Amino acid sequence: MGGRRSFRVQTLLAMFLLLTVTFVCAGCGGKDSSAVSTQPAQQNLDTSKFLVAIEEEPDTVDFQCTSIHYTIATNVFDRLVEMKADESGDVKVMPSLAESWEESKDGKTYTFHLRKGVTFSNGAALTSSDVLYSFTRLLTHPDSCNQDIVQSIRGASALAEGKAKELEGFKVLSDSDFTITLEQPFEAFLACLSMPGASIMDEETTTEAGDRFGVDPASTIGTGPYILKEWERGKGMMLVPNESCWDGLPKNAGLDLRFITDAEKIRMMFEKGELDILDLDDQGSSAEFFIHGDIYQSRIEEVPPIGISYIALNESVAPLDDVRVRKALQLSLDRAALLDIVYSGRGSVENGIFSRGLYGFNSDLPAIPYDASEAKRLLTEAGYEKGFDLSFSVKSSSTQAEMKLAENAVDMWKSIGINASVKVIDEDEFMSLRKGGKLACYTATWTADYNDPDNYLYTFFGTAENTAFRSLCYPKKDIIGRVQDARTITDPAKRLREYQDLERIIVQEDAAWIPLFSRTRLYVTSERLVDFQHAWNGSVKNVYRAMSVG
Amino acid sequence: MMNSIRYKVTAITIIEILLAILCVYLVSFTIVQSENDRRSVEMMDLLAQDTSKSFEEYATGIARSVEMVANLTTDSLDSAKLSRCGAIGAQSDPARRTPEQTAELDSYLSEFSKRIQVETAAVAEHTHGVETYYFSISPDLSTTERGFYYSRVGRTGFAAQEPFDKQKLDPNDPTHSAWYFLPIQRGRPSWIGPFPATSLNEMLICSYVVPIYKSGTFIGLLGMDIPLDTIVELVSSIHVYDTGYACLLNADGTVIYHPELKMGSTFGSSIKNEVFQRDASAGMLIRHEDSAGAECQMSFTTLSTGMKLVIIAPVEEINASSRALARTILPIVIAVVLAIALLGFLVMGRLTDPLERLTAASQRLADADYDVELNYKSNDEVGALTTAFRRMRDQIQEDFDDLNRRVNTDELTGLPNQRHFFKLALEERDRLVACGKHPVVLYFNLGGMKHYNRRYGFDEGDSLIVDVAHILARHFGEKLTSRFGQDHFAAVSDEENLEDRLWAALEDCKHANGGKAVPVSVGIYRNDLGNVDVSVACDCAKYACDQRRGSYFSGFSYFEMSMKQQIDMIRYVVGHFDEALEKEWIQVYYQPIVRAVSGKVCDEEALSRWFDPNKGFISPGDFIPALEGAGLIYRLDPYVLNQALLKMKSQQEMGLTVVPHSINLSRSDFDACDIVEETCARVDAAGIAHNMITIEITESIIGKDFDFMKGQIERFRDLGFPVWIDDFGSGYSSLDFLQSVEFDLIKFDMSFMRKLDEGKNSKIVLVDLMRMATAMGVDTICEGVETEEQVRFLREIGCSKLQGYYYCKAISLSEIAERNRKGIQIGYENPEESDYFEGIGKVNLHDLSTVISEEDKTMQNAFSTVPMAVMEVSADAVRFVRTNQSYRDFIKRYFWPSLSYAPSVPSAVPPAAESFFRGHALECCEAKGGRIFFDEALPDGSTASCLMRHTHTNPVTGTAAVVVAVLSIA
Repeated sequence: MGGRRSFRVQTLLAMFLLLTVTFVCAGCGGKDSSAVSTQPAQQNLDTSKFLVAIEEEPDTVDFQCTSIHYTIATNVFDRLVEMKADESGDVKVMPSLAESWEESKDGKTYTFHLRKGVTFSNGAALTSSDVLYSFTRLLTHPDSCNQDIVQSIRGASALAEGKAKELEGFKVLSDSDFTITLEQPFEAFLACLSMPGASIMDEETTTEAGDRFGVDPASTIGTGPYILKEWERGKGMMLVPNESCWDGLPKNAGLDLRFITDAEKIRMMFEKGELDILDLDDQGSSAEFFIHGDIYQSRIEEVPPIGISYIALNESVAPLDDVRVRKALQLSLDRAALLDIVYSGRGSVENGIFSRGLYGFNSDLPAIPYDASEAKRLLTEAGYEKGFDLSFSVKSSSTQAEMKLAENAVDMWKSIGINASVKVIDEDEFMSLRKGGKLACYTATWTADYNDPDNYLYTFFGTAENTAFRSLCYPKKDIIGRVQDARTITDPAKRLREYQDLERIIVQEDAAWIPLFSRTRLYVTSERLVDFQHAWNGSVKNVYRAMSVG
Repeated sequence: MMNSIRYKVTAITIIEILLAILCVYLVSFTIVQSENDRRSVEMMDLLAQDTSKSFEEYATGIARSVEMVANLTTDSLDSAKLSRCGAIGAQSDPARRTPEQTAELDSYLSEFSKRIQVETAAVAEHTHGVETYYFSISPDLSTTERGFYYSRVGRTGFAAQEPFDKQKLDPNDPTHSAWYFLPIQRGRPSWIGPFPATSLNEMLICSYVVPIYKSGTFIGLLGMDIPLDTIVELVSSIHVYDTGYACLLNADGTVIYHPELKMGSTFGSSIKNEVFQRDASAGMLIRHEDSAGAECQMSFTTLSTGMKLVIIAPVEEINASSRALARTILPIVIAVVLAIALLGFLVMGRLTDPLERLTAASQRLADADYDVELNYKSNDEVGALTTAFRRMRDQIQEDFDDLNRRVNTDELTGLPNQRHFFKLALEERDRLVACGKHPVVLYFNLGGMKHYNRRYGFDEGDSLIVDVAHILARHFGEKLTSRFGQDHFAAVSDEENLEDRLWAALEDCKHANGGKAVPVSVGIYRNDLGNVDVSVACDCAKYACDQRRGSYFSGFSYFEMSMKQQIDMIRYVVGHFDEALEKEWIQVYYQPIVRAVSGKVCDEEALSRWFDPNKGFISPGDFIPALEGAGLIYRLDPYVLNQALLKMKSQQEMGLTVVPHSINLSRSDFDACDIVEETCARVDAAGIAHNMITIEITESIIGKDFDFMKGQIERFRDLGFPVWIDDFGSGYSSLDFLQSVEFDLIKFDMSFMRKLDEGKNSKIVLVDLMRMATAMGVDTICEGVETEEQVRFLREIGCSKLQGYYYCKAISLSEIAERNRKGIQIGYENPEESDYFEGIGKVNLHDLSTVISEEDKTMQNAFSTVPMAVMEVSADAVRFVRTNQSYRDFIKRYFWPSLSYAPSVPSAVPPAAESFFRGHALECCEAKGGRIFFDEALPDGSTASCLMRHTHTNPVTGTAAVVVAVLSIA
């Protein structure tokens, strides 16, 4: 037919019919057109299978620059090694990104072999230089607060202080092999590497991200089971599974972390089934309704965290520099009653630093008794029979339990004549004062980062800076020296003995801090959460991946 | 027209639209139905949620208030003091409390309770709908301090009531004690009720109760009550749709409030129990029939008090809006369908109109109406189709005209051909008859065209035919003259002045093709003889024309009625020939041919006879020409040959003497097949010697195609078949062929016999022909010998074989057998003697050469009239076999004056002559070269010088034949 206008009756007919049918359809369907467009046009994440948990909103999730927020570090990032229970239930250092390693005979040099085929969620391969970069950044970042973790590496201090440009003790052998040489042998080195602050970051992405790392989800790239997908300020964070994670997919479809601080709101959320894990620590007196509530009995999970609640006493503040005063403060606290009052008795009174469950816990340590008259006697002996003023600092964001603890402790001290008072301080100020060694007295709970007494002892008494950072200002340089030296003891038994001796000296002889109790943490799970898990240290935040919601 | 595409397409369109609508209707009905259900569920859920929300605001307000006070209570509790009093902690067992502790605790609780009451009152007063509020201290803490209980009094405020005495509560009376035990059991804040409040005259109330714990120890209950009526009032004010309503159910589905049902009765027995175990109906379609039988739909939510708020509305009302919509749309849809159908019909009409026109045109084309209009012009398919049709029509018309022309006209001359002529002639004849005139049909035949063509070539022949055609057309009209084919023409004309016009035409024909013309024969059929079909008239005219066959001059003859009989006969013969063969109406008869010198049968001629059951005996003279004319004779002749061969074979097998049989061949035999080959094959197949079958061919057919026939004759003879010339002298014989064709025998036509008696001339002709034949060495037969006189004459003139009734007519095979049986059959010549008799028969007694010898030409023709005789000489007798007139004169004159011819042959030699010849004859036979001269004294004394020659010897009898000629008498 060529270019001629072709006329085809059939085609025309077919079109005509089609048109007719369409018209009729449209005519019939018109009255109900709204039915078609009920599907949401916007493509949102289907969060119905996400595990929902409460999270405190951090300024940054940069694990090198925070000491309070590690949820992203533990869920989005991995570390060279991980602290996990082995088959027999003993908590040990287990391979993670480092598939294997060898330790030299002198205990100074570790040769690591990275797991093959591990990639960051952006597709970049994990190499030895990423590890080097992570540690270098940890040491050199101006806001870094976790240098301790790698401080033991040779040349770490020089690098941190700007005296060296490179980390001397770190030698890249190949893309997947490197050696780390320590200044001195440090048995807890591997355990340190399991800390959130030692998470490994992608050099290229992180370098490029600059300040955005830890703030912008797209720049916060790790190798872990999740990807930080969204961070809506004031609302929450959304984590989705990392499909290419070397360790497999998480059991749930994602994490929905909500930034909610109001306990009642949290409780209502949980009661409506909108929250999968409720930490009763956040619930104050309402926690009782869950503990006693008939419908929650089967959903309460008791977790013994490896951690200790304590009251820090600043030895640089008079009259706390007098060991008799400190001992009087120790003896005048009815810690069992405090545990009853504050935590309804759920926990154990501790007498040292190393809490129950921690490697090195000393059950033979003598109990510190509640002896108000002895305390009074000591006060009198120290010349404070009329007491003295003492501020018990509490940060504004403290839990009710902490507040209650502070109030009751203060009451107990008052009963022996000490003019103690609770002083609530804004959180920022509290932190700066504490880090500056200016708080006279405060309470806190230390949860083990890794299962080694070093994690406690070194953190609080390892260096002059560390004791100041915790507002302890422990003055005994010899003891501090021994704490440092203990790290290099390669004989485990000998090292343990040394740690227990130090613990006894610091707590019972020097009364440098007041051990309170290790608690039993209580979690309530949603009905749909079927396999509650907790980590060795009692935290749930680094085992979200192992939980599934029906 | 109901089958037209337009109607079909429109019908199909409408059907499809209707089908589509039906499908769409069904589908949309289902969709709308389910969508309606979905929306109604949605709507009802929404209503339920909406309703519950207003209630929840109220309930939440109360709950908030209670919790607020509860929180305050918990926080206000001095845990350190409680711990000291042994109320909380590990040592909180009331039994272990010291009296001091108990006293301190009681006073603390009393003071605490008062403080809390103030706070609670402040809150309760600002909370809408609160009927009572209370704080109930656990008996484990204090047996004396029970807390407080306030209830609303009037509108003004709350009045203190006696606090509950927990000791009096009966755990076995859940209706009245649940408010206390249930919250403790639940361990969390919750709504309790409705339950009847003892202190409020069994008024139904709902209570929000918060258990107070301090450091893990139960302190007491704090709660507020609201009257159920307040809730019922709220619920009863709800109206959905026109008659829809709301009701309140317990968690177990029993009625709390229902406009029609009593409290505690079971609601909606048709609704499954598990339905109410859900928190809300969210998305569930729940329908049931109400008491009036109307279908209702419900939706429910669970209120925070644990009650179910149910919204119920008749389905009818829920779906009312969509039904109204459907009612509005239906007429629109119908109107649209009708409009589309109409539009479709019109559009299809427009589209198919040219197609319909084309269809009509093609139908007219099919009926050979080529004048149909095909003028639709368009670029579409129909336009192309129309154009193609138009071109096809033009082409057909053109071809048709051409074909018509070809069919109706003769290509060479342009005259109407035979078929067309019949039509034209019929019209003309009818026209003439109608005018009262006398039509005639003329048939023209050009004589000797074959010869003409051979002489001048076919181009000239065609040229002549064209010329003649023009002449005839000029004289008789172009449309009334026709060339039938070859050199045959026909014309139809008026009888008036016919002959003049005819002559004029014939005269013109003489000058045709530059004078190189041929005679034209004309046959005329006068229509007055009978108004027969034109083709029949043409046949008749042709017949009349054929009567002039062989004429060398132009002329015409009229068809006469007698000819009609002949034509009838021909038609009958031709029409029944197959039947005649099949039914053996045609039989083969055999006529003996007798050797003149011996009087014995030397040959038999196979002849066909037709004994017709209807017509009786049909003469060969009738049916043979008829078959020849129809070209059927080629089937008769082989039939005759076969029959003859069968006869000979059976005779042979019977051990009878078999003489050669002659069969007749016609011209068409040679055309039909290679008759030479055919004959030879049949004869060989029969196992008969070739020389036993003689081929008779009439002189006339040889003359017609001389060269061809000459060749065929030669082939026959080369194969050993003797060939005879039949019917010699029957027509205008040309002696020409005798010079050039070699054959074995001349058979003189029986007309010679008939004419023999008429005068001397015929005898002269016959004698000379006979002499000529003898001189050529050719045997002769005379047919039609009927008298003894004829026999004697013929024997004298040397005719070697005779055939005729004188001896025997042709007879059937059975007759031959019959005659044989009776012994009246003429004896058969011993075939071994045939050559001998043939030899002496052939001796020309007018030709001395026979005496001299073939080689000696010196004496040839020198003594043509010397007395000569053929004698048979046996050991004891001499007799004349043949003599010539001169010899007979000689004998008569010198030896036997009284001699007269004996009828029998051979005749005896006169005794006087016997001595005269006998000795010489014997001498001659023994002489070298078989030839002697001798002088012999005649009875009168003179001496006769004679020449004698021994020519033949009979191989059977040993008789010698000698020819004697009397050379001179001195």
